[in-house]
Parts: sequence; structure tokens; C-alpha cells
Amino acid sequence: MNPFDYFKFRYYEKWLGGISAYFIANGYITQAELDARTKAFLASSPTMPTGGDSAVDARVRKYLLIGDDPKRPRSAPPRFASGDAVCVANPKSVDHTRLPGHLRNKTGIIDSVYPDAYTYLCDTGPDGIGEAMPVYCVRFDPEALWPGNTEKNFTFYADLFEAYLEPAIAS
Amino acid sequence: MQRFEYSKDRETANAARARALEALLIEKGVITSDTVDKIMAIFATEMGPFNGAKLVAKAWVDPAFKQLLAEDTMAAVEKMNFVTKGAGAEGEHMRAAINTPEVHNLIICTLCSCYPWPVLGLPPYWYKDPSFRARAPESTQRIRPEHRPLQGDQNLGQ
Repeated sequence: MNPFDYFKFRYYEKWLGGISAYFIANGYITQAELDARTKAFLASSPTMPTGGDSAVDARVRKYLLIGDDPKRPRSAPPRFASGDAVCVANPKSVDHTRLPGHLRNKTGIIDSVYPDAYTYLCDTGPDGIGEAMPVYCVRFDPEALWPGNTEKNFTFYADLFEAYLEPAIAS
Repeated sequence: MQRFEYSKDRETANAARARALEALLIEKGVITSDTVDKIMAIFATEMGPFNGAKLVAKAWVDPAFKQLLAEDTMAAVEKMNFVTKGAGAEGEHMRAAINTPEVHNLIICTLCSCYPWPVLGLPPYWYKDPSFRARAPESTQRIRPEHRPLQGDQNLGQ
């Protein structure tokens, strides 16, 4: 997504744009059809078409009620334990990531290790996630993240995939 | 600056585009004429903040439940009579953060669309706005008062 558009559009505008782009890219509808129909709905309130296979509704309901569980058994023991000092990696930026930019190259402490392992919705390539791996709750001193620019007396926690963490080098 | 300008009719235009997309998808047989209404009904009556409110209220009056909610959130959720049981889209693995008079928690999502749909429903748009996401991690004083964690005598917990 164009970074300017990312900041311009509100959350649900992004949903609408993303869903529309998916159906256009995969050949279900065309941009011209969508534009023309949008004009029609702006000009009046056309009657909605009817019909469809109710099995679709059942599948949608099933998804919402059950979800899509990303938890998997671990293939190896977790690399870190509670109390370990870790340094956050700085991998190449890609479209999808679960690494907040403000944590890159920062040092934190493993607060807890979540049970089992977790997949991500896609393989993020050089970013490093996708396959099931341990996830950690990492504790940061906000003063180390934003020196001289934070409130006092609070702690910042982030849930991070193992691929984003390296052992902190003792100084 | 032009790149960030909003059209004055953004709400109307987006509503028309959403309706147009729905109509086209019904015609193509991708969804049915009931699909969107059924999803709206689920979020209005089965997956939403009314579930989260029940969890919190039960924790107020049942110390053992409160402890379970803190230690094994999904086990506590499974004890509720929610239609999603211990599952539900975007809420497959939730972890409750318990406020105390001394410690207040602000849960933020700085990257994507994570939000506990089964107990809080769909997020308000401001929760996903870049300005909120950028300010909230650094300082609760830089976000609007109604978006801040509870302060001092506002504490409703027991």
C-alpha cells in the first residue's frame, strides 16, 4: 500500500479498499463495474439483488464463531527464557510485518514465554515470520525507546515473534 | 498536503461503494443477499462488548473467576455462555490484563488489525488511526482523555 494512502485512509476505508482490490485482482468483478455501480448508488437507492447459496452464509458464520487458530505445537524449545536480555532485530521492511518500527535495535527483557508456537498469515520473507515459532512478551523501559520524551512510571510490553529477537550483547 | 486531503463526501461515497460491492458480489454468487446482514447481526448480538462486560462483571463478584481470568484467560472465557465458547475470529488466544488501584493497562495495536472481536466486537476507527497508534505508546497524556486508561478516582474495579 502506498504510504501516503496508508496515512490518508481511515481503518474501515482500508478494509473497503482491500476487499475491493482483492475481488478485482482475482477476477470476480472489474473496477469499471464497481465504479459504475457506485455511481448508481450515489444517484439513487437501487434495490439490492436477491438470491445466493445459503451454504456461503453458514461458512461465514462458522468462520466468525470458530476463527482461524494460529497456535501450533513447538518443533524446538524456545530460544529464550523469562529474564533474558534480548536485542530486537532490524530486518528489511516488507508489506507485512509484526515488528513495530519503534522497537528495532532496542534492548528489552523477556517478561514471559507464551505456550506453544504461532504461525503468521503469510511468509514475510526477509522479515522472518510465517512458520510456527515461539512468541514472547518482551518488557521495555520507555526511557530507552523514547529518551526524554515519555511519561514517568510506566512499562512498555510488546508481544514479539522469536525471529525478531537476538541475544543482547553484554556491554 | 494534497495527498492527505479528504473529500468532503467521504462517508457518502464510501457507503455507496460498499453497497455497490455488496450488490455485485450477490449478483456474481460470491455472497448471498443475507450475508452482510447476518454478519452485522452477529456483531450486534453475539460477538461484541456485551460479552466483555459480562466477563468483567463476573470477575468483580467472583474472586476465583477473576484469578482464572488473569492466569488462563481462555479457560475463563470458556466458562461463559458465549456463542464463540473459547474461540472466535480474532479472539482465539486472548490474554486479560487486570487493572489494580496501582496499575492500569492500556492495550494498543501498533501494526495491524488485531482486536478481540468475540469480547469487544469490531474496533472503533480511531483505535487504528496512525496518530493514536504513534502517541499512545509514548504517553497517555498525548491522546484524547476519553481514550486514556482509567485514572485515580475513576477506577471502577474492586
